[in-house]
Amino acid sequence: MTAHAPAPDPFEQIIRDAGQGWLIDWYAPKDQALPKLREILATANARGRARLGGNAPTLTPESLAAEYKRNPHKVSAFLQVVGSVHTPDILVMVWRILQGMNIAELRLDYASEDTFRMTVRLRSPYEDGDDETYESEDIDDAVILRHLGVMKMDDKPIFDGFYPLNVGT
Amino acid sequence: MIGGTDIILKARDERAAMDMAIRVIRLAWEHAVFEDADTGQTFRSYSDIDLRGRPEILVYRDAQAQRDWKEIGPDPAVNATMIHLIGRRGELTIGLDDVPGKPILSIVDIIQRSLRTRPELFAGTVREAA
Repeated sequence: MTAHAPAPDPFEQIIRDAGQGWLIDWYAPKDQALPKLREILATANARGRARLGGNAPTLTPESLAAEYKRNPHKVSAFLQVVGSVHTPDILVMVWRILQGMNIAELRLDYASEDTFRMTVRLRSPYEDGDDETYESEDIDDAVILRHLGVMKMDDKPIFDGFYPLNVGT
Repeated sequence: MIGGTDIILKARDERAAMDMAIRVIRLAWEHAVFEDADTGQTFRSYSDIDLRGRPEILVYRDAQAQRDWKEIGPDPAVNATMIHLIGRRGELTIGLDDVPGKPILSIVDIIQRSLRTRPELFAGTVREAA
Protein backbone atom coordinates (compact mmCIF):
# COMPACT_ATOMS: atom_id res chain seq x y z
CA MET A 1 0.00 0.00 0.00
CA THR A 2 1.43 3.34 -1.01
CA ALA A 3 1.15 6.29 1.33
CA HIS A 4 0.12 9.45 -0.49
CA ALA A 5 1.50 12.82 0.46
CA PRO A 6 -1.22 15.27 1.47
CA ALA A 7 -2.41 17.51 -1.35
CA PRO A 8 -0.54 20.81 -1.28
CA ASP A 9 -2.39 23.82 0.00
CA PRO A 10 -3.75 25.62 -3.10
CA PHE A 11 -2.48 28.98 -1.83
CA GLU A 12 0.99 27.54 -1.26
CA GLN A 13 0.82 25.97 -4.69
CA ILE A 14 0.29 29.27 -6.52
CA ILE A 15 2.98 30.94 -4.41
CA ARG A 16 5.45 28.23 -5.43
CA ASP A 17 4.23 28.09 -9.03
CA ALA A 18 4.72 31.84 -9.24
CA GLY A 19 8.35 31.37 -8.19
CA GLN A 20 7.75 33.05 -4.84
CA GLY A 21 8.36 30.07 -2.57
CA TRP A 22 10.83 32.19 -0.64
CA LEU A 23 7.82 33.84 1.00
CA ILE A 24 7.23 30.56 2.81
CA ASP A 25 10.73 29.12 3.05
CA TRP A 26 12.35 32.24 4.48
CA TYR A 27 9.66 32.88 7.06
CA ALA A 28 10.38 31.85 10.64
CA PRO A 29 8.76 29.76 11.88
CA LYS A 30 8.07 28.36 8.42
CA ASP A 31 4.77 26.74 9.38
CA GLN A 32 3.38 30.15 10.24
CA ALA A 33 4.11 31.66 6.83
CA LEU A 34 0.80 30.76 5.17
CA PRO A 35 -1.36 31.82 8.14
CA LYS A 36 0.52 35.13 8.21
CA LEU A 37 0.06 35.68 4.47
CA ARG A 38 -3.63 34.86 4.79
CA GLU A 39 -3.93 37.36 7.63
CA ILE A 40 -2.20 40.07 5.54
CA LEU A 41 -4.58 39.41 2.67
CA ALA A 42 -7.63 39.42 4.94
CA THR A 43 -6.63 42.76 6.43
CA ALA A 44 -6.04 44.28 2.98
CA ASN A 45 -9.31 42.83 1.74
CA ALA A 46 -11.19 44.42 4.65
CA ARG A 47 -9.48 47.78 4.02
CA GLY A 48 -10.47 47.58 0.38
CA ARG A 49 -14.10 46.93 1.32
CA ALA A 50 -14.08 49.78 3.82
CA ARG A 51 -12.63 52.20 1.27
CA LEU A 52 -14.22 51.17 -1.98
CA GLY A 53 -17.36 49.23 -1.01
CA GLY A 54 -18.71 47.29 -3.96
CA ASN A 55 -15.86 48.45 -6.21
CA ALA A 56 -13.25 46.87 -3.95
CA PRO A 57 -11.05 44.16 -5.36
CA THR A 58 -11.36 40.76 -3.71
CA LEU A 59 -8.04 39.95 -2.11
CA THR A 60 -8.25 36.36 -0.94
CA PRO A 61 -6.13 33.28 -1.60
CA GLU A 62 -8.94 32.03 -3.84
CA SER A 63 -9.09 35.24 -5.90
CA LEU A 64 -5.31 35.22 -6.29
CA ALA A 65 -5.47 31.62 -7.47
CA ALA A 66 -8.18 32.54 -9.98
CA GLU A 67 -6.19 35.51 -11.27
CA TYR A 68 -3.06 33.37 -11.46
CA LYS A 69 -4.82 31.23 -14.06
CA ARG A 70 -5.58 34.38 -16.08
CA ASN A 71 -2.52 36.56 -15.56
CA PRO A 72 0.26 34.83 -13.63
CA HIS A 73 2.67 37.73 -14.06
CA LYS A 74 0.31 40.03 -12.15
CA VAL A 75 0.00 37.64 -9.23
CA SER A 76 3.78 37.17 -9.17
CA ALA A 77 4.26 40.93 -8.95
CA PHE A 78 1.71 41.19 -6.15
CA LEU A 79 3.18 38.30 -4.18
CA GLN A 80 6.64 39.86 -4.41
CA VAL A 81 5.49 42.77 -2.24
CA VAL A 82 2.82 41.17 -0.08
CA GLY A 83 5.32 40.19 2.59
CA SER A 84 7.15 43.53 2.60
CA VAL A 85 4.41 46.13 2.37
CA HIS A 86 3.38 47.27 5.84
CA THR A 87 0.27 49.32 5.11
CA PRO A 88 -2.79 47.31 4.01
CA ASP A 89 -4.07 50.22 1.91
CA ILE A 90 -0.91 50.06 -0.18
CA LEU A 91 -1.64 46.43 -1.06
CA VAL A 92 -5.11 47.49 -2.16
CA MET A 93 -3.48 50.19 -4.27
CA VAL A 94 -1.10 47.70 -5.89
CA TRP A 95 -4.00 45.48 -6.87
CA ARG A 96 -5.93 48.47 -8.23
CA ILE A 97 -2.94 49.32 -10.45
CA LEU A 98 -2.82 45.71 -11.63
CA GLN A 99 -6.52 45.98 -12.42
CA GLY A 100 -5.79 48.93 -14.70
CA MET A 101 -5.94 52.10 -12.62
CA ASN A 102 -3.60 54.84 -13.82
CA ILE A 103 -1.09 56.49 -11.52
CA ALA A 104 -2.13 60.14 -11.69
CA GLU A 105 0.13 61.49 -8.97
CA LEU A 106 2.88 60.23 -6.69
CA ARG A 107 4.34 62.40 -3.96
CA LEU A 108 7.26 61.34 -1.85
CA ASP A 109 8.42 63.28 1.19
CA TYR A 110 11.58 61.82 2.65
CA ALA A 111 14.19 63.08 5.07
CA SER A 112 16.83 60.66 6.35
CA GLU A 113 16.08 59.41 9.84
CA ASP A 114 13.13 61.76 10.04
CA THR A 115 10.30 61.61 7.52
CA PHE A 116 8.77 59.23 5.01
CA ARG A 117 5.44 60.01 3.47
CA MET A 118 4.21 58.54 0.20
CA THR A 119 0.95 59.67 -1.37
CA VAL A 120 -0.37 58.07 -4.54
CA ARG A 121 -3.45 59.18 -6.40
CA LEU A 122 -4.92 56.68 -8.82
CA ARG A 123 -7.23 57.65 -11.63
CA SER A 124 -9.66 55.41 -13.41
CA PRO A 125 -9.03 55.03 -17.14
CA TYR A 126 -12.78 55.37 -17.55
CA GLU A 127 -14.55 58.69 -17.50
CA ASP A 128 -17.03 57.67 -14.80
CA GLY A 129 -14.44 56.48 -12.29
CA ASP A 130 -13.40 58.34 -9.16
CA ASP A 131 -9.84 59.07 -8.10
CA GLU A 132 -8.47 57.05 -5.19
CA THR A 133 -5.75 58.35 -2.88
CA TYR A 134 -3.46 56.06 -0.88
CA GLU A 135 -1.03 57.19 1.80
CA SER A 136 1.77 55.60 3.76
CA GLU A 137 4.19 56.82 6.39
CA ASP A 138 6.13 53.55 6.54
CA ILE A 139 9.26 53.34 4.41
CA ASP A 140 8.78 49.56 4.06
CA ASP A 141 6.04 50.44 1.59
CA ALA A 142 8.61 52.06 -0.72
CA VAL A 143 9.30 48.56 -2.08
CA ILE A 144 6.40 49.10 -4.46
CA LEU A 145 8.25 51.86 -6.31
CA ARG A 146 10.70 49.51 -8.01
CA HIS A 147 7.81 47.56 -9.54
CA LEU A 148 6.23 50.52 -11.32
CA GLY A 149 6.50 50.86 -15.08
CA VAL A 150 8.40 53.99 -16.11
CA MET A 151 7.89 55.82 -19.36
CA LYS A 152 7.70 59.13 -21.17
CA MET A 153 4.86 60.06 -23.46
CA ASP A 154 5.31 63.24 -25.51
CA ASP A 155 8.37 63.72 -23.31
CA LYS A 156 6.16 63.87 -20.21
CA PRO A 157 6.73 61.52 -17.26
CA ILE A 158 4.43 58.61 -16.55
CA PHE A 159 4.41 55.81 -14.00
CA ASP A 160 2.15 53.03 -15.22
CA GLY A 161 1.62 49.39 -14.40
CA PHE A 162 3.09 47.10 -11.78
CA TYR A 163 5.54 44.40 -12.87
CA PRO A 164 7.34 41.42 -11.36
CA LEU A 165 11.04 41.44 -10.58
CA ASN A 166 13.22 38.36 -10.91
CA VAL A 167 13.18 37.63 -7.19
CA GLY A 168 13.09 33.95 -6.38
CA THR A 169 13.49 32.72 -9.94
CA MET B 1 1.67 39.92 -38.33
CA ILE B 2 -0.24 42.48 -40.39
CA GLY B 3 1.88 42.03 -43.49
CA GLY B 4 4.07 45.03 -42.85
CA THR B 5 6.92 45.58 -40.48
CA ASP B 6 7.64 43.47 -37.42
CA ILE B 7 9.71 44.78 -34.56
CA ILE B 8 11.00 41.88 -32.51
CA LEU B 9 12.09 42.44 -28.94
CA LYS B 10 13.84 39.83 -26.84
CA ALA B 11 11.82 39.52 -23.66
CA ARG B 12 12.70 37.63 -20.50
CA ASP B 13 9.01 37.51 -19.59
CA GLU B 14 7.05 37.95 -22.80
CA ARG B 15 3.70 37.94 -21.01
CA ALA B 16 4.67 40.79 -18.68
CA ALA B 17 6.31 42.59 -21.61
CA MET B 18 3.09 42.27 -23.61
CA ASP B 19 1.17 43.59 -20.61
CA MET B 20 3.41 46.64 -20.55
CA ALA B 21 2.98 47.15 -24.30
CA ILE B 22 -0.80 46.94 -23.95
CA ARG B 23 -0.77 49.50 -21.17
CA VAL B 24 1.38 51.87 -23.23
CA ILE B 25 -0.96 51.59 -26.20
CA ARG B 26 -3.95 52.09 -23.92
CA LEU B 27 -2.45 55.37 -22.71
CA ALA B 28 -1.99 56.51 -26.31
CA TRP B 29 -5.37 55.23 -27.50
CA GLU B 30 -7.85 56.06 -24.78
CA HIS B 31 -10.63 53.99 -26.36
CA ALA B 32 -8.50 51.03 -27.41
CA VAL B 33 -10.23 47.71 -28.04
CA PHE B 34 -8.37 44.42 -27.62
CA GLU B 35 -8.88 41.21 -29.54
CA ASP B 36 -7.44 37.73 -29.27
CA ALA B 37 -5.99 37.22 -32.75
CA ASP B 38 -6.57 33.45 -32.56
CA THR B 39 -10.11 33.30 -31.22
CA GLY B 40 -11.51 36.70 -32.16
CA GLN B 41 -12.63 37.30 -28.58
CA THR B 42 -12.93 41.02 -27.91
CA PHE B 43 -12.03 42.79 -24.67
CA ARG B 44 -13.38 46.27 -24.10
CA SER B 45 -11.12 47.02 -21.19
CA TYR B 46 -7.61 46.16 -20.06
CA SER B 47 -8.88 44.61 -16.83
CA ASP B 48 -10.86 42.00 -18.79
CA ILE B 49 -7.84 40.59 -20.61
CA ASP B 50 -6.37 37.29 -19.49
CA LEU B 51 -3.01 36.90 -21.16
CA ARG B 52 -2.30 33.28 -20.24
CA GLY B 53 -2.78 31.22 -23.38
CA ARG B 54 -3.25 34.31 -25.52
CA PRO B 55 0.01 34.80 -27.39
CA GLU B 56 -1.44 37.20 -29.97
CA ILE B 57 -3.39 40.33 -29.18
CA LEU B 58 -4.66 42.87 -31.68
CA VAL B 59 -5.03 46.34 -30.22
CA TYR B 60 -7.33 48.61 -32.20
CA ARG B 61 -7.43 52.36 -31.74
CA ASP B 62 -11.17 52.14 -31.03
CA ALA B 63 -14.25 50.08 -31.81
CA GLN B 64 -14.68 51.76 -35.20
CA ALA B 65 -11.15 50.76 -36.17
CA GLN B 66 -11.94 47.16 -35.25
CA ARG B 67 -15.04 47.24 -37.47
CA ASP B 68 -13.06 48.81 -40.32
CA TRP B 69 -10.41 46.10 -40.13
CA LYS B 70 -13.09 43.42 -40.21
CA GLU B 71 -14.73 45.00 -43.25
CA ILE B 72 -11.83 46.04 -45.43
CA GLY B 73 -8.79 44.30 -43.95
CA PRO B 74 -5.27 45.63 -44.37
CA ASP B 75 -5.65 48.72 -46.48
CA PRO B 76 -4.13 52.20 -46.43
CA ALA B 77 -7.50 53.45 -45.21
CA VAL B 78 -6.97 51.72 -41.86
CA ASN B 79 -3.30 52.58 -41.45
CA ALA B 80 -2.25 53.55 -37.95
CA THR B 81 -5.36 52.10 -36.30
CA MET B 82 -4.14 48.70 -35.11
CA ILE B 83 -1.05 47.16 -33.53
CA HIS B 84 -0.48 43.42 -33.46
CA LEU B 85 1.34 42.06 -30.40
CA ILE B 86 2.77 38.55 -30.32
CA GLY B 87 4.42 37.13 -27.21
CA ARG B 88 6.13 33.79 -27.80
CA ARG B 89 9.31 31.96 -26.86
CA GLY B 90 11.03 34.85 -25.17
CA GLU B 91 10.12 37.43 -27.76
CA LEU B 92 7.61 40.22 -28.02
CA THR B 93 6.84 41.02 -31.64
CA ILE B 94 5.13 44.27 -32.55
CA GLY B 95 3.46 43.99 -35.94
CA LEU B 96 2.89 47.24 -37.79
CA ASP B 97 1.50 48.58 -41.05
CA ASP B 98 3.48 48.43 -44.29
CA VAL B 99 4.40 52.06 -43.82
CA PRO B 100 3.85 52.82 -40.17
CA GLY B 101 3.13 56.48 -39.56
CA LYS B 102 4.77 58.70 -37.00
CA PRO B 103 2.08 58.20 -34.32
CA ILE B 104 2.50 54.42 -34.45
CA LEU B 105 6.28 54.63 -34.44
CA SER B 106 6.04 56.93 -31.47
CA ILE B 107 4.00 54.33 -29.56
CA VAL B 108 6.51 51.62 -30.46
CA ASP B 109 9.36 53.85 -29.29
CA ILE B 110 7.62 54.34 -25.93
CA ILE B 111 7.11 50.58 -25.58
CA GLN B 112 10.78 49.92 -26.26
CA ARG B 113 11.96 52.66 -23.91
CA SER B 114 9.61 51.47 -21.18
CA LEU B 115 10.84 47.91 -21.50
CA ARG B 116 14.43 49.09 -21.32
CA THR B 117 13.72 50.46 -17.86
CA ARG B 118 12.83 46.90 -16.77
CA PRO B 119 15.77 44.54 -17.37
CA GLU B 120 13.76 41.71 -15.83
CA LEU B 121 11.30 42.01 -18.73
CA PHE B 122 13.51 43.09 -21.61
CA ALA B 123 16.66 41.33 -22.73
CA GLY B 124 17.90 44.21 -24.85
CA THR B 125 18.04 42.77 -28.34
CA VAL B 126 15.97 44.39 -31.05
CA ARG B 127 15.62 43.51 -34.69
CA GLU B 128 13.20 44.39 -37.43
CA ALA B 129 11.76 42.07 -40.06
CA ALA B 130 9.83 43.12 -43.13
